[in-house]
Amino acid sequence: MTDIERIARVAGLPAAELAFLEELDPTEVARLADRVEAVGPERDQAVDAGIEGALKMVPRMLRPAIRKVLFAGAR
Amino acid sequence: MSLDVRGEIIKLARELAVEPGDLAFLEGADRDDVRRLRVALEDALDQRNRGIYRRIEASSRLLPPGVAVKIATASFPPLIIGRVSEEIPSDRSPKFLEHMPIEKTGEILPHMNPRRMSDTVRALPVSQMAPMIKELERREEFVTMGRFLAVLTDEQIPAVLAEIEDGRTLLLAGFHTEDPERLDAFVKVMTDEQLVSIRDAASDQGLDDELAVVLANLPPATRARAEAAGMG
Repeated sequence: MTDIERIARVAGLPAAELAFLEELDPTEVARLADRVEAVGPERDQAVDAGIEGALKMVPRMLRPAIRKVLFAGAR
Repeated sequence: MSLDVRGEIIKLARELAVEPGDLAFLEGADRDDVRRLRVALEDALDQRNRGIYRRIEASSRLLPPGVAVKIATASFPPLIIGRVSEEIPSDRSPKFLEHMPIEKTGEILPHMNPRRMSDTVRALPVSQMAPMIKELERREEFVTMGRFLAVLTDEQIPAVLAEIEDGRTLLLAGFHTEDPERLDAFVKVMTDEQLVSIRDAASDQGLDDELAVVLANLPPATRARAEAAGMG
């Protein structure tokens, strides 16, 4: 898979729409593709860590109700 | 004449959690190409967690707004708070804003997409919007101002413009707008003093190119009025 295809896959775009990247520095485009692929999982982690931290601050008696709302469905 | 690619690079850099300088190689690209990539990535990355953002917002309803704000600001980074905040209904937003320190609001606003929450922006009283405008101005967050100004109603515009005294801010917020067609609604109701302050800012601070872009995006009648008043 090319770097442009990697970016297109995450963005949900046809690779042809990113043809402008072919004109740019390939090393920079490769670095961009790495970043694009990394950011989603990093954000998932930030959400999970945030929820964990927030639940510790919620008054104990409310935690079951909050958990029920938070974990009621898929991500 | 097109709007500048740098605003798109700043927004893409925020989305990817990098510095704009890391994406400087994109300065050679067309703004519309970078915008298409940025919008697609923003939507795809957002879709990934939108369900949990909704549920975090729903769970916050079980807490008093002041407690929810305190917990959120201590637990989540500004980007996540911003994305969750997009889910807050317009009638509840003012209550959260009352408890949010303005410095924190200034950190969060650049990560929000006003188009996903235009009803909320349009329902906000100017008394709550004014400190946010001042904070964004203090941070020189012209790209963010341009995003938010683009969703204001015609009725909100004069009151918001009254909060912005600096010609440079007016010019750069307009320059970075996400909706160039809305520039007309702003320039039409600007005072002559504001139009002159924009011209002065452009000539004093080397922003003639930015001024030319704004003028080029105005319809002929508004452009003529602006130029006659001294903006051009």
